[in-house]
Amino acid sequence: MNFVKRSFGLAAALAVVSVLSGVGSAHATDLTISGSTMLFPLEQVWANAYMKSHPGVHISVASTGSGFGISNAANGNITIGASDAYLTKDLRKRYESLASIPVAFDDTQVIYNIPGIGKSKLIRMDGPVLARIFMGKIRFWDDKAIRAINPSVKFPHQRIKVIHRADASGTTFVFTDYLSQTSKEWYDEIGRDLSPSWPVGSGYNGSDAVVAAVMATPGAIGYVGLGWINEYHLSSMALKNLDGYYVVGSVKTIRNAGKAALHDPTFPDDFNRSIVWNLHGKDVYPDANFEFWMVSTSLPAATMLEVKKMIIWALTKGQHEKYTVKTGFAPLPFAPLKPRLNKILNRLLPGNSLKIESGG
Amino acid sequence: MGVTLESDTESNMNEGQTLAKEPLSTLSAVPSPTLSASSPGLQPNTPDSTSEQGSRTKSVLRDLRKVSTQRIHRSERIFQGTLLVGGLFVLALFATVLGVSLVEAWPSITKFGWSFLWTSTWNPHRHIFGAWTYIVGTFWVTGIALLFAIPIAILSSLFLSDYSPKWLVGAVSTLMEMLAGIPSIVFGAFGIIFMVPLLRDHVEPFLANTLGRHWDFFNGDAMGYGILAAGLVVGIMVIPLVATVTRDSLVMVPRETVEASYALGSTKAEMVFFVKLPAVVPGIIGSVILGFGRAIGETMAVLLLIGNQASIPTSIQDVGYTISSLLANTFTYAVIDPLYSAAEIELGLILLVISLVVNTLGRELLMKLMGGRLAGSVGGG
Amino acid sequence: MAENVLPEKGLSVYRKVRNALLGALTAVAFVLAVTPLLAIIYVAYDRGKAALSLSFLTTLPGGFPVGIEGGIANGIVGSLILIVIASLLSVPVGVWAGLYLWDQSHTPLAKATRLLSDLLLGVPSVIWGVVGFYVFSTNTGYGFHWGFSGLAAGLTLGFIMIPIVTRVTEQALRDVPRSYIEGALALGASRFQVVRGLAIPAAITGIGTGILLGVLNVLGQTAPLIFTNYYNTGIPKNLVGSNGSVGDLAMQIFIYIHEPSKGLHVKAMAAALVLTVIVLLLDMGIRLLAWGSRKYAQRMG
Repeated sequence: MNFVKRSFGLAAALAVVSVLSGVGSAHATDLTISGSTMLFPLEQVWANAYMKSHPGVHISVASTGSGFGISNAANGNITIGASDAYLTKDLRKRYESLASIPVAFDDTQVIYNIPGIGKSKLIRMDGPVLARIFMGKIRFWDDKAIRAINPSVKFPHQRIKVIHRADASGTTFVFTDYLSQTSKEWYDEIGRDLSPSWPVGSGYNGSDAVVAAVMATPGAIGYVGLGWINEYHLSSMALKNLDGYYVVGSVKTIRNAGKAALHDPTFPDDFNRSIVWNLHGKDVYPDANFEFWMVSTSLPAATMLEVKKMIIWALTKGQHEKYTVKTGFAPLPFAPLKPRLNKILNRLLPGNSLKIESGG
Repeated sequence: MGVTLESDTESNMNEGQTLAKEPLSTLSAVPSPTLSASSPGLQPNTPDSTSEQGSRTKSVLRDLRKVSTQRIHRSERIFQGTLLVGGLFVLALFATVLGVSLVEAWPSITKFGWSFLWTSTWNPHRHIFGAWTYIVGTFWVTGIALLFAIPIAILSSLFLSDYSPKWLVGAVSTLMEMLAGIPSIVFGAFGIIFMVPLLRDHVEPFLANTLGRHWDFFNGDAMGYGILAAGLVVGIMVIPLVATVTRDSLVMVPRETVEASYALGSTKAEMVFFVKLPAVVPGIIGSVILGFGRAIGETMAVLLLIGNQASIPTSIQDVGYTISSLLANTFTYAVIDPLYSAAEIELGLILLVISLVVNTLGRELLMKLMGGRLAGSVGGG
Repeated sequence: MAENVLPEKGLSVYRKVRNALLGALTAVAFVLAVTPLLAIIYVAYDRGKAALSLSFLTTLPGGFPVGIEGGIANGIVGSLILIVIASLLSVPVGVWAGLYLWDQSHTPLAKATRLLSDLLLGVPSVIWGVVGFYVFSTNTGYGFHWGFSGLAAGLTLGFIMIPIVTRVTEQALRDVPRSYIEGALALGASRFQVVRGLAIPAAITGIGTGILLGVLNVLGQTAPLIFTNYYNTGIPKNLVGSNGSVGDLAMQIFIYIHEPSKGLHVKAMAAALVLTVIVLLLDMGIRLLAWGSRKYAQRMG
């Protein structure tokens, strides 16, 4: 008995000592960023680069969905919450201490897995047809509505398997934004939301799981951001924009969307507005969005210092093409942005005015 | 995870049953060297009232009775009070669980009332919430799991108790019990890597092409993910639990019954299937109920496999949604809206009540059978 | 000899065949039951062996996608931290409550407490997650406002362990022979002395078994972690606050299995194997403890 008691105590003591010593030699500061799965690829690349140039800081990145990002940042559970969805008026009212900072630029695209159709074949899609697919009203790939937009493509008679998100997702928000603005059916019945009531399909946790499911399921259709499409070399559909052009999402076309949006003088200072659909231009992708980092201004001072350093790095060095374009994000268009960003950052750094140089 | 808490059944019989009945505190221990009159083991010899020895004994007894009615020494009272705090912790924990659930679910309970249970709409956007879809999904997964697990588990338990060779019994029982401890996330990962492709490419199309020709229920789209994948994996998880608990009941069938059966000329199978098995029906029911309780609370494996679609399944290949998966997927987002989070917690409350009732029923049934020992798993994940 | 009146010698063919068939059926069922479970271990080994190495256990994840390089040290250390915190809460409380239930087991309050303790055993893991969220993590309401942190998750896991430790402690104490207790009391020991010097030491292996059982249960829990900690790709400096979350083996498997990257799937399977091996070793340890204590008790008579 004594031996058991003693050895148990010894083991416990060893465990505690090893843990504490491990923890003690851990990094000087830690940041936890979680939320948007769309931003996740870029965040990982940023985290690696930042940790290399700032030894002593550890950044843990997780992809939990924009909904978790907003909510957990607002509730003080994580340091930085990433979201593809901007803060709507209700959320801003409810969480007054939550600041949202745009840090990147991306889009939502439609991915698919149609047996027999190669990657090089371009498939076009418009809002109303897409909405009907996701409502379960168009059930086969060779439906006449799809064939009407794609006369040169031979579709198999294959069931469309709708893949959507199970978690509260900013990608879903941006996607349903497009559907709501282009399809009256969708707007009336379902609407734009981080977590709408999907009529059909199956749901997965995170864009990563959506990619995995679409890649593995013949006949599948899903939606993820450009970052994932680049990371896994997926093919996506060309969506019809306001001017009637079918545009595939790429860094170039979403950059055009950003330029078009920011030329509007009424575009709000805090970027909290949708830039989906209502943009003119030939090569303008209709389903682009800003990526936001949400930070609660009530974080403890020491953490807040590190957070600000990280944000500034992200907005300057982080915008370099080797991070952004390489992973499928467009760098923030800086010229119109600088005064607005200064204003937002002042909210986090009261009293300091910051010089932000364009990242490239 | 299901690791049986009860220790070997031998010690069960000898010490636990007879001796445990009498709690310690009936002995009023006093720090002076006098005997306690209420302890059975410390009673003096029965008084013989007729002899002069008897009158001496009577006065001794009178003294002893006086001693036992004295106040218990203060240090004992303090000690007893200190122990009470331990019990209060448990009470506080239970109160916290129930309290948090009720308080946070209250806005939804008052807003929707009983209709929450049978409303199938779940629309956070429009603030319409109803539990029916998730209740149905939960029961579908649990039902498939039990349908698959119970026959296999009961037959396996018969193997464990009667048919396995003597030299193998220890090893296979231990094997079964240890397999009960595998965490559910491992099952979930296995399900994604192995079960989903198997179902999508082979099993589900097969079902659609054979049974599906006659019954629409088997004629759904092969997706891999869905109630079948989740149900089968949860079933695999539940088998060791049901099997080991049933085996424990089988082992307790008295030898006389077994020998009487043989004396009447039965074959081994006849004894096992027609005498032993019917004798332990309460134990089987108890183990099935425990398995049900475990299956219903299962979260991770289901979340990865069920397809997370809030609709009522119409075919065996269809997707669905259970209460626990919904909560795991959406709860920390739902807190941004008080009614949304209250509705989700109300769902959790429903799950909690069902789990508590089911687990207690199973445990009480088995305790009656096993005479006071806790049998069955303390698992779940 | 009336051969047509006496029953035929031996069993009818039907009964013989049925006997053999039913016997075989149970063996088949057993194989069916055990095969998927063994298959899981085999599949985990087969798909994950490429990633297994000592450095897998001792390096932190890195690369892009994160985890493709490096190992699962954050998960192992994080799980250890969580278990230590959970035990620090549940062992004192559980043993204390178990002592109470054993000592006062005839009182109605103790009976009620035992019932509630058993009820707590049946609480689903998502409910524990919700409770942990409100009590420990979130910064609104009456809780501790610790954010997604190791302390919040560890204490929530401790909550889960408490009823297990309580129940097993009570049973272990009941297993101590009455004669010991009564003998000590007869010699004039106070109840406290009996408990400290006799009951607890005699029941210590049972209590140890209960603690290990609780740890076994809690090792694989993922759902409560989603609500109170989520995940960390490294090892945090502090265990409280918005940047205090820890890694965890089970969460790691959950996260990696979601990624499309095949390389991460390999790591997920390897991590699943590590977790399963730890669980099985712990299980064997519990059995050995129980067996050893029985042998000891038998020798003591």
